[in-house]
Amino acid sequence: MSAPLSPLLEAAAARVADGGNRPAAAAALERLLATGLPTRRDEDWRYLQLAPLAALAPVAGSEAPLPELPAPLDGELRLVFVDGQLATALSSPETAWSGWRSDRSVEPLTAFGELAAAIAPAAVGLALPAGLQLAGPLHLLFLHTRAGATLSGATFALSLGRGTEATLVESHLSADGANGLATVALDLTLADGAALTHMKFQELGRGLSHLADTRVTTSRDARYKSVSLTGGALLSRDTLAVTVNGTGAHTELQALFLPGEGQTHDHHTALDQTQPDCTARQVYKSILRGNGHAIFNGKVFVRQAAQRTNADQSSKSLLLDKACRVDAKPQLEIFADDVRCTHGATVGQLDPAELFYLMSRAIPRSRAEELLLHGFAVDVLNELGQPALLERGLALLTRFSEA
Amino acid sequence: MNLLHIKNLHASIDGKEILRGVNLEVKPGEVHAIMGPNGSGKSTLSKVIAGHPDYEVTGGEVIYSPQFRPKDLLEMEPFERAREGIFLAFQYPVELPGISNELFLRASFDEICRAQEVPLLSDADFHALLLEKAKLVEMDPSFLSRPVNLGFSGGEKKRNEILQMAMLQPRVAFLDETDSGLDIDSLRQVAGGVNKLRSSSNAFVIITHYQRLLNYITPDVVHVFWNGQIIKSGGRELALELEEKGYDWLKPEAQDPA
Ligand SMILES: Nc1ncnc2c1ncn2[C@@H]1O[C@H](COP(=O)(O)OP(=O)(O)OP(=O)(O)O)[C@@H](O)[C@H]1O
Ligand SMILES: [Mg+2]
Repeated sequence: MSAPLSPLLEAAAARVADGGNRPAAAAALERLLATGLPTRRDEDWRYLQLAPLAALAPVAGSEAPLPELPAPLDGELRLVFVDGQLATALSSPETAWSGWRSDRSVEPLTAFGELAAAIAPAAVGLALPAGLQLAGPLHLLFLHTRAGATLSGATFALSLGRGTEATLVESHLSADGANGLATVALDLTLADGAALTHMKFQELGRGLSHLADTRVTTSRDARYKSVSLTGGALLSRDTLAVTVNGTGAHTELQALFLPGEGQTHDHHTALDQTQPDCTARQVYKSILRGNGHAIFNGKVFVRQAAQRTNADQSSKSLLLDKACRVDAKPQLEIFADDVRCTHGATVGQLDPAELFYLMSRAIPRSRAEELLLHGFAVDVLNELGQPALLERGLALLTRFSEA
Repeated sequence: MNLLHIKNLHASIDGKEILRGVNLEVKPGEVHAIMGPNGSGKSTLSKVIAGHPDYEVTGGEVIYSPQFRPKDLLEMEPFERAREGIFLAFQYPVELPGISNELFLRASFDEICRAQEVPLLSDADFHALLLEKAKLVEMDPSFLSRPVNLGFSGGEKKRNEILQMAMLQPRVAFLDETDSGLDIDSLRQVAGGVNKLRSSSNAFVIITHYQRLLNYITPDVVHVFWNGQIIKSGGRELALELEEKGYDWLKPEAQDPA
């Protein structure tokens, strides 16, 4: 490449060098420099305003106080990342988890994932051995504290051994005034019979852009369930790819995204069924306000060997204002002949008959709307299961409906 | 004093006049029945009273006097009317996906408590009250946790309207064809529920096509609605006469061939 690097890529290269050229970081940087950052000409990125991100000239930024942290979940193992850096002082004692540390590096899905892998101060990962029973969920908190045009990256690799069952909670939070580009890459692998319930809360402030890769690889009889709530950030892009490499596996993908005025929430998912007799269910819902923009692209591949795949996908959007915009695209590519796959996408508005019915029962309009939003979102929120998480999901929805 | 006084009420929808001068006086403790042919405007009247936004009131007034304090009903928002004790049991109850019957009634009940400045009930007390009212209208408690009206049969939806009425204790309740679609036992149970809710301080306006309901709920007055107006009022026996003779003999043309 002869053209000079953009300040962003230059900063990434400098951080790799500062970090002593860790092999995984150097490899990620090499891949990133080879492809460059995507632009709107790339089909998978066409709806996003990427130019301001690509033109970012990162600064260290000034530190702000930490945001308020959610109360610990019952028995949780907490790992806190502050601006990409694992903060041991805020995390569970290292003795509680050091035995499971793994240095498996993540395999990002996108150029922003490669950026995360290049600039992450360290590769953090856990391998939970077969039969391990954690006392509570594994809780990853990604905190952003710096004001100014900052750039941060974090990676996390998790491996579940045979039959291991675990819950992973991801919280993305920021201090008032924090801004910049926050990248993260997760790589999750499930051995035969393992089960992972993965819940993500993206509640960043409007100063941040959030670009997250999540790669999931599952095996025979494994169960992976994802519930992703997107409420914050100016621009939020989730790229989730699940590859099912064993028979009898079950995958469940759920999301609720709530882009309000000025916000763009983009969910790109790819589910790759490579083996027979697997089931999958996907429900992605968005509620939009102001000129909020929701993007959903859901690819499902059913490979030739994946006979008797049973997969449903649905995407539903609720538009509260005239200026909202939805781009939803389901994409099924089926190469096996004996399968049952369905997909559907709907876009609607609040039903005036439903609103009047509620108001005729003494409920003022704003509360009636809130109830209807709740009714729309409740099936996704209920998948959060634990009361503490359900409450957090409900609070996120309430903040949105009161905004 | 009238609890509800409708004076020369005119209303249209999409520019088409449906109500053409309705006059009705309802006193506390009374039960009024309104009968009339399809499309004559009975549901329109009940929806205009509840404040449905699709209708434009083009003339007349409605004075509502709960606790002897007269209010201009037409100036009030739909939720304010409900808070003040106006209730409409819908001819076609609306389904609310994802909102449980109990959550819905809780939201509604809390608004009424706030408006009346009485303390809110605890979850346990509210649930107990709801079970008591479900029993009153002979509704299986399993319906309380289901989404409002979703997948309910026609008769179950009607019974659910009466459950809501029992919870909200309105002063003036319009029941729009609540008897349509009810089987014989359900009709008796729903009517029994209404009778238990009757008191000297509230009133009912019952829209029906069948005089059979009036065997169970005895009306004080029966009105005939035709072409957007009440054209005749009488006692209980008028309903029997209508059942026998239909409506044609009452039409203005039939009475005044000029
Ligand atoms: N949007 C509209 N535009 C024009 N006419 C309308 C509109 N909505 C309702 N109407 C008419 O208003 C008239 C009164 O309807 P309404 O539902 O009040 O009748 P009803 O007396 O309750 O009849 P039923 O006994 O069948 O329930 C009907 O002729 C109906 O077609
Ligand atoms: Mg009607």
